[in-house]
Amino acid sequence: MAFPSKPLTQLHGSNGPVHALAYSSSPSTYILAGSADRCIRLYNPSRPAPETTSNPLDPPRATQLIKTYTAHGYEVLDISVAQDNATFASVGGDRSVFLWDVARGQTIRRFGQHNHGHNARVNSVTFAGVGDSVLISGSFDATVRIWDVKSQNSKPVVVLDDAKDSISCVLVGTGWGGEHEILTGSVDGRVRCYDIRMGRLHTDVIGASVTSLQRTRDGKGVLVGALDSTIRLMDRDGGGLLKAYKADTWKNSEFRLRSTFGGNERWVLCGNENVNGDDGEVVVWDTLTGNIAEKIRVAGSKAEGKKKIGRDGKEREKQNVISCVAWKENGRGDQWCCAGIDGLVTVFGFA
Amino acid sequence: MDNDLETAEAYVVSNHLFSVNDDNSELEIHRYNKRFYIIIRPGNLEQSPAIKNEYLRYLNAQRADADGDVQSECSVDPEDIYDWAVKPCLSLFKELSPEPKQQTAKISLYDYYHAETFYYHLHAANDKLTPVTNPKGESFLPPAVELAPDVFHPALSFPRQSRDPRQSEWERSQMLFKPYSNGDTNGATREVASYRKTTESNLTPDVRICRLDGVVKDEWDRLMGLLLNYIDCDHVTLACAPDEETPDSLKQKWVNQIKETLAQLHDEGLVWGDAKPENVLITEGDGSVGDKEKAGTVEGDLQGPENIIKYVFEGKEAPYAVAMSGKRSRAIYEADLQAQQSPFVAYGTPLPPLDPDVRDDGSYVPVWKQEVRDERGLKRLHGAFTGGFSAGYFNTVGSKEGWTPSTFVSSRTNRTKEGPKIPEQRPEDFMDEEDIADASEAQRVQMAEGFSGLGSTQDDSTRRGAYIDVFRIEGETIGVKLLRRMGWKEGQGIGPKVRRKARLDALERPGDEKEPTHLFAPENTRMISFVKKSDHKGLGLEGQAKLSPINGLGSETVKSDDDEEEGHLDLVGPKKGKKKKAVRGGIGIGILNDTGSDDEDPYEIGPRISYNRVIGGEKKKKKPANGSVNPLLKSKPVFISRKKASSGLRKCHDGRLPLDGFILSSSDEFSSLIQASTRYAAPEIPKDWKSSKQPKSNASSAAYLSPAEAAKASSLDPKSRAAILGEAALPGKSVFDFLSPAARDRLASASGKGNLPPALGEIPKGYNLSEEDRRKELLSQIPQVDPSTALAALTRGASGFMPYAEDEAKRTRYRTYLENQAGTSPVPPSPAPAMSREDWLKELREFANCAQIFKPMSGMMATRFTSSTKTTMSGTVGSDAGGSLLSKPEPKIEDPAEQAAKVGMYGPLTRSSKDWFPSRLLCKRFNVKPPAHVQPGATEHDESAAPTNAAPDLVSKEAISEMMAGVNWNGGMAGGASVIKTESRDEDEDEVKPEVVVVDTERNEALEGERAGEAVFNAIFGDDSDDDDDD
Repeated sequence: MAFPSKPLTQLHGSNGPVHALAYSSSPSTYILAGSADRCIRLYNPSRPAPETTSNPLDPPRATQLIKTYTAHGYEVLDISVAQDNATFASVGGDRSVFLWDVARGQTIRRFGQHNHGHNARVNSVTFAGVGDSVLISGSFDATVRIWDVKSQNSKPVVVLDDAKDSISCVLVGTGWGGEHEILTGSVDGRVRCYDIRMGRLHTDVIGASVTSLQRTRDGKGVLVGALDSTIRLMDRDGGGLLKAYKADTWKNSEFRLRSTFGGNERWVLCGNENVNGDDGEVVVWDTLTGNIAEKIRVAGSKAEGKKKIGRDGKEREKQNVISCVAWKENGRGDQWCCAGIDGLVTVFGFA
Repeated sequence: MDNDLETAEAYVVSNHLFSVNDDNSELEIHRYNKRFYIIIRPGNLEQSPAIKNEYLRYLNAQRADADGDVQSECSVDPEDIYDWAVKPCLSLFKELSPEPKQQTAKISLYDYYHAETFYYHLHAANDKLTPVTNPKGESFLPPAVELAPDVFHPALSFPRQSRDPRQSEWERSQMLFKPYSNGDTNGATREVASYRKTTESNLTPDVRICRLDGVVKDEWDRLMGLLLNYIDCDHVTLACAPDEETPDSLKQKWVNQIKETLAQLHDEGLVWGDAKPENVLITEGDGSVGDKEKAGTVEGDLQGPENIIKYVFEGKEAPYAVAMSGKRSRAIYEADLQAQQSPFVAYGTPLPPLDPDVRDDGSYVPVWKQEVRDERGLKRLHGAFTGGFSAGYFNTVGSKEGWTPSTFVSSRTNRTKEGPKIPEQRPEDFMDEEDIADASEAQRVQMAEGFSGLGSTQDDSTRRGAYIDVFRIEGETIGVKLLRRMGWKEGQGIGPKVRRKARLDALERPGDEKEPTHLFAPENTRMISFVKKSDHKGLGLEGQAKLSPINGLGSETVKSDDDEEEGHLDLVGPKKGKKKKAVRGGIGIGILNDTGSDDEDPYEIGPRISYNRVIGGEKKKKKPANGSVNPLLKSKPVFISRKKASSGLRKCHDGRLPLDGFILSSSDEFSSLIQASTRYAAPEIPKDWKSSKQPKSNASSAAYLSPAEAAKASSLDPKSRAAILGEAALPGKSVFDFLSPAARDRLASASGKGNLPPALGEIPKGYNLSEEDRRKELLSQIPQVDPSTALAALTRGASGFMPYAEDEAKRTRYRTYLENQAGTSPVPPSPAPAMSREDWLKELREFANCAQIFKPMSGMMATRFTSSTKTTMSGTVGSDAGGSLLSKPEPKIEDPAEQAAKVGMYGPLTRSSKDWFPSRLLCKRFNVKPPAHVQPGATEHDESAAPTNAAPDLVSKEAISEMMAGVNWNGGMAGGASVIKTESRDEDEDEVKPEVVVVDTERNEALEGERAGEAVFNAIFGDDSDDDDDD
C-alpha cells in the first residue's frame, strides 16, 4: 500500500497558526482545527473545495467550513473529540477546559474557571474513562488535572503534580488495558504512566522534553516525540526503546511537533522544523525499519504576511513548520491532514 | 337647464346629500317652481326595522357609487332611493306644486334658486313611510363659490344675475348652466382660469370646443355657476355613440376631428386635461370636444386620444369604464389629492405633504381606517379596543388564535448575538400624560398634613369648621357694600377727605411748599390683628424678622420689576409690620414720619429716615444723591436707644394721637418685663444687721498633714521600714560593690559627688565562670536553626540569593552561622570584632530568621523554576572569577536515569515506579476496582486537591509571624539591654532560657502513632464512607 501523498484539499479560514488538529470520532468525517486566532473550526474535507480565487483574503467558502466555535480568549492548544461526536473539549491559554456542544456551538461547561483550575495555560486535553466521563488536562503549571464531566463539581477529581515541569501532552490509551493508564509527557523529559488499576506511577526518563505521545493500538508501544530531534517508540511494559526515528534533514528542537501513527501504524509522521520558505514538510518513517519512507511537501500559503522579527531582533526567515498531524479514524483511515504555522489545513489522501 | 323640468317627469331630483358621519340624507327635489327637501333620518324610521334596513341599503348603494366602488357588490341601484323616498310624497307634490296652467311660462335661474321651499321629514309609521312637515323650516341659501377677484378677467365681467330674467340679453340663445356647489373653490378657480385662457387665446371660432358665455354671480359677488354655450348632443357622448352599426368612416371622422381639435388647442398652448370619451359630445354625425377641465399635461392629452381611438374602434371597456358617471372615482380623487398636495393653497407654492402615505387634507377616512395615536405616535387602542368584529381575532396578541403561551426560550445566550435590537420598552411607553404625571407625583415625598403640628386640628374637619362655615360671610359684607355706596373705595380709609399734597412716588417731599394740595381720601387704618403664637420662641422674640424683613427694601429691590408680586407683598406685609412695631416699641419711628402707610420699613435709612426729628437726636441729614442707594446700606439696622424712641409722641394703632392727658403705653408684656427687671434694685441690707448664724471657726483643719510632709517628717530609713513591713532583706550589696574602680570614678565625676561608696569590683555569682563554661554558655544562647533549613538557605545563597549583599563581612558571618547550623562546619560563629555580646546574639537571631525566610521556594514558586546544573555551574564560575566569597555548592548529582537515557539505555534504568493513589471517584469513572492500598475512607477532593489548590505562598505565614515576633522581641531587648545587670542575673537566666523541646524530625508522632481501631473511625466517619460517590 502506497502512502497517501496526494493533497486533496486545503482548508482555509484560520488567521493564525493552527495548534491542534483532530478528526472527529469514527467515522471521522470532520476535521476540527484549533487555531491561535482563538477559534476552533469545523471542516468537512469531503465537500468540494472552493474554486481557487486569486484573492487570499476572500472569506472562506461555506462549503468546507461548517462552523466556527468562538469562546476562547486565548489561543487554542489542543482538542479532544468525544466518542459519540456530540461534544468535544478544547484547551488553550484560557487556563480552563472548555467542553463544547458540537451542534449548538456553545460551551456546555468550562472546567477550572474558578480557583481550582490551572494556574497557567493548558497544553493538552483528552477524554478518558468509561463513556468519556472524565477530562484530563495537562498544563504549563506542571499539573495534570482530571475533571469529572458527569458531576457539577467545579473541583478537579485528581490533581497529579508529580511533574517538575510543564505538561506538554496527556494520553489515555485504548484497548489492552491502555484505557486504564494515563500517560503524561512533560518538559522535564519524563513520561509518567499512572496506572489506575494497579495504583502505580511509572516514570520513564526520556531525557529531552517530551512533546508528543501516541500509543500503538495494542497498547504496548508508546510513540514519544522529544525535543532532541528524535521520535522514540518505547516499550510500555519495560520502558525499553523499541525504535528511534531520526533523520539528518529532520529537526525538532524548538516546537511542539505532534507525531502520529498512520496507515494502521505502518508509518510514523511528523512535521519538520528544518524548512524554509512558504512550504512545509512532513516526514514519514516506516515504523518497522525506521527509515524515511516519504517526505511530503505541504504547499503553504503564498500570502506575504507580516515580517517576523526573531528574538535576536533580526528578521526571521519565513518558515512553515507543520506542527500537527492527524490521521483519519485514529490511524486507520485512508486520509490524513496536517497544519502548521501558516494556518492552512492540508488534507492528503490517495489519488 | 330649463328643459330639465319640461322634458322629465313631474319632478327632478336635483341633489342628494348624505353625510359621512351619520346615516342622514337629504333629497332636494324640484317640481315646477317649487322646491322640496325630503330629510330622512334613521331615527325616524326606528318603528319599522324593515324600512330602516331598506333605507340603509339604498344609502350604502349611494355611498358605494359615490366612492366609485364596483357596483356589482350592491344589488341595489343607487337611483332607487329617489323613487323610494319620493313615492310617499307624490300626493304632496301635486297638491303643493300644481301643474302650471301655461306650459310656456318661463322659469328663470332666479326662480330656480329662489323657489318656494318645503321641508319634509320621512317617518315610518305602521310600516309606511309618511312625510312629516317641519314647521320650523330651514333657510336656503343658493350654493355659490367665493373666488379671488383676480380670477376673473375684465373680459369676463358680465353683468350680475338680474332679478328680472327678462333683462337678460342671453334670453334667446340656449346655454348650459354649470352650477357650483358650496366649497368647490378649487375646481371653480381652475375652470374659470382655463375658460379664460380659451377666451384669451386666438382660437378660431370653428374649433369644436365648449366655450364660456358668462358667469352667474349672486348678490355678494359669489360665483354661482358658469354659462357655457350649449351643444345640443341629446346626451350622446363618444362613450355611448359607437356601436356595431357605426360605419368606420364615421368613426374615423370622429377621431380626425378630435385629433384636429387637440392639435389646435396645443398650438395655442392649451391642454385638454380630461381626454376621455365621456367628455366628447357627439352632435348629429359630428364631433365636438366639450372639455370641462383643462388641467393636465400635453403627454396626457396625447395619450388620451389614443385611448379614445382604441375605444372607438375596438369598443373595449377602457380603464375609464368605471368612471361612467363622469365623476372622478375615489382612486382618482385620492390620486389628485396627492398630486395637488395641498388642495387649499391658492397662493404661493404648496408645501409637500408631510407624509406621502398620509393625507392631511382633512378628507373623509373610514372609521376602520382611523387610528388613535397619542402625541408620540403610539397607537393608543389595541386589540379589542380597536373595535369591529375582528376585535379579538386578528388584533389579539400574536396570532389569530389569540394568546398562545409559547415555550420559554432563554435569551441568555443570544444576548450578545448581533441582530435587530428589540427596542427596550419602558413603562413610559404605556403611560399617557396623566399616568406620567401621577408617577412623578408619587415620587415626591411629602409630610403628612397633620404631622408638622402634632395635635393640630387642621385636618380634623368636623372640629375645625363645623359652625364656622355656617356663619362665614361669602363675598362682601353689608358694611362694605354700604361704604361703597357712599363713595368709599377699596384701600381708602374711612372719614372725611384730607387735604394734602399729591404723593406721586409714595414719597412726601418736605421742601416743596408751593406744590398744590388736593383733597384725598384719608389713609386706611388697619385692623388690629392678633397674631396667634405658633412658634416656640420666647414671648416677643422675633428673631426671624430681623434677619429677613419681608417688606423691607431688600426684597423690594429684588422683586421690583414684578408689580403684581409687590402688590401681593403689600397685602401681606402690613400685619407683620404692625406687629413688629408694637413689639419693638417704635424703634426708629418718629411721630412725624409715621405716615401709617403700609410700606414703611423700620430699617429704612433712606430719605425718610433723614426726615426723622427725634428729640435730642442729632441725625445727619444725609440724603442719598439719587434713589438708587445701595440696598444693603439701606437695610442696615440702626440702633436708636429705647429711651429716645419711647419718649417721643406716638400714635395709636389707628393713626391718631392719643387722647389728651394720656400717654400711649410703651409697654407690652415683653418690655414691661424688662423694665421690671431694671426697676427694682436688690434690697439694701441695713448696716446694723447681723445674721443670727455664726460662721464656724476653722481650727480643726490645723491637724491635717499631707503625706509628703508626713514622709518628710519620718525618721525611718528603708531598712527600718522594711523591718516594720516584714519584707525580706535585700542582699547586702550595693551597685558599687560590683563596679570597677574606674567606673566608680567616672560615676563620681559625672554626678559630682565625692561621697560615693568605694567600688569593690566584685564579680557576680553567675559570671564567675571559667573560659570553657563561658563559651559553652554563650554557644547555648545561639539560636538554633533546623539543619535542613540551614542547608537549604546555603544552597539558595550559592545560587546567588543571599542577603547582606551590601555588607560582605556580615554575609560571611551569616554563611559561617549557616554552615555551623547545617553541621557542615564545626566552626562556631564568632562575633565580629568590637561587637558586644548582646549585639552578636541579636545578629545571630536575625540570621536565624533570615535562614527561615531564604530557604528554598516552596509550592507554586518552586514549580516555576527548575534547577539546572549548567546555569548553576556557570554562575558559580562567574562568582568565583569575581572573587566572591560564595562557596562552591556541591555539584548536583545527575540522575542516573538521565544519564542512562542520555546514552540510550532505556529500560529498567530509566524506569522508576512508586505507589500512586487514584481517588475512588476516578476509579469509578474508569470502571476499575480501586487498588488495594487506596483507603476506603479517603475522600478524593479534600485529600488530593486541597494541598495543591491552596495558593502557595512565597514565604510561609509561620515564617513571617515568627519574624514579626522576633522583631518585637529584639526591640524589647534593645530597649532593656542597657540596664545594668544586677546580682539576680542567674535567676533571670534560668527564666529566660527557653525549655528546649526536642523534636524528632524523622518521626511524626501524630501520623505514625498507632492507628485507632476501625470501630472508632466508623463511629466518627461512618456515614462519609458511603456517600463519597454521590457527587
